[in-house]
Amino acid sequence: MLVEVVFITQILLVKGTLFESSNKTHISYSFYIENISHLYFKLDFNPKTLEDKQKAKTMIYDCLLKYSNLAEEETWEKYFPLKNLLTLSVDDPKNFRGAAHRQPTDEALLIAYENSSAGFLDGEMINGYWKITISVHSIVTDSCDYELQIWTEG
Amino acid sequence: MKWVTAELHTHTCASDGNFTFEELVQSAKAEDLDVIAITDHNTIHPATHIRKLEKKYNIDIIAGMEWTTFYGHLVILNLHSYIDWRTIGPSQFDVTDIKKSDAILGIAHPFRVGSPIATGCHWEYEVSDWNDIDYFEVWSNVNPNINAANKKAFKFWLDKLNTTKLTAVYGRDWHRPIPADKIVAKNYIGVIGDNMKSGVIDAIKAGRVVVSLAPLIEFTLFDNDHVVNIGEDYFTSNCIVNFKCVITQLNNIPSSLVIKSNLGPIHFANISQDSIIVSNISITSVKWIIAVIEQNTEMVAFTNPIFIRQKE
Repeated sequence: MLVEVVFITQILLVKGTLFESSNKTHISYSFYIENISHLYFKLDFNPKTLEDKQKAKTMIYDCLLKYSNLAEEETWEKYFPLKNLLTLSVDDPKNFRGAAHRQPTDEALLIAYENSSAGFLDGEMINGYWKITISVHSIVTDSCDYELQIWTEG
Repeated sequence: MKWVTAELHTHTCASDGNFTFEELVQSAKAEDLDVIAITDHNTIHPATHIRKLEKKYNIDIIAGMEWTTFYGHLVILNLHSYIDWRTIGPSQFDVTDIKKSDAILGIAHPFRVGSPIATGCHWEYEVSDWNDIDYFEVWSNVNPNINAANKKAFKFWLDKLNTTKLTAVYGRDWHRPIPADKIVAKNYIGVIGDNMKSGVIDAIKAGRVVVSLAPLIEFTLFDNDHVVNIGEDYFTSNCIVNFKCVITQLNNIPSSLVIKSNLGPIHFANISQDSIIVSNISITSVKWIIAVIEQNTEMVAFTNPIFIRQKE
């Protein structure tokens, strides 16, 4: 009986801490892969939301005043809780391979020849340096810890 | 010219929408839309997938992306390869490379509240040359005619018309099914020729778009045999011009047709059903005119402008 052997290799497990001052930055991890069939990656970060109501209220009013002058008419609770937002994007050695502009879930994301996760592009798993980028759209909490895992199959 | 209906700003689970791409297309078909643009945040859909859905549902789908930067969101239509946003700083807005392709660019929800409530949603880039921008989402989101940010956008757009051609459109920013207590608008787009998708792109560039909750306003100027459509220039040395508005799909609520210009409103007519209004207006010092339908002092539809060019 033939048994297919699948090699799973953990490439990176990296952790970091972001602050409000980290807003609008990009953090990229570049890694070399060869002869793989599947690239998996998973981003998680905590906290996801700002639960401090007093701080949130001040930030929401400041934001409404800055952008709309409508603060009196709007209820700040409509925008509570404010969210941290980090998004992921991937580049293979030659091309852009997609992005996940959304809040993370428990599921790992996949790029492969076919059946890649939503937002990512199927195609050849080219040998060379791939790059995963975390884009820091919004940090509203005092700090936010992220963890990115990358592993390959094949 | 044929009027088609289009939604130009949509999302799926490829970014932060709730729909799968197929569910979005099914929803568009349920509303009888002729065309949609798929504009997920910072990612694109393979052409093969788009073609498959077009065939299965007999709908035209324009490939696009919402270029979702930290400092503003730009909808790019007729886009066939990814365009990076990750290297653009707040004072580095430059679309020279995008403009070399067949893509067209529209500023999304320009006056929506920005970060930290909605990150990057408010347009903060300095645009050095407005000729680079093809269109502007004057109406965005649900209940667009009473939305305060849209009222600001409308005022800004009217002011811009004094110096540039900038097409107004509606962008629903469609992420999920619309709640029953909310209303949406649509774009009526005047397509010339048989190719629906390139026809829509050309029409947006040319300003042949009517933004509306329901009624279609076919607004033209006429001068003997010469007919001037929205988006076009009317060259004249006359002080008075004839106009015609053919209004269809109006509900039976008492409405006003208002012709607005850079000088303010210049003509009123009361209507309560589908109508054809023919009259004349003075165009001394007038640079542009649009037709608007109002109900209970709120706009329910408006056209893009006809530009008046006075001959010496």
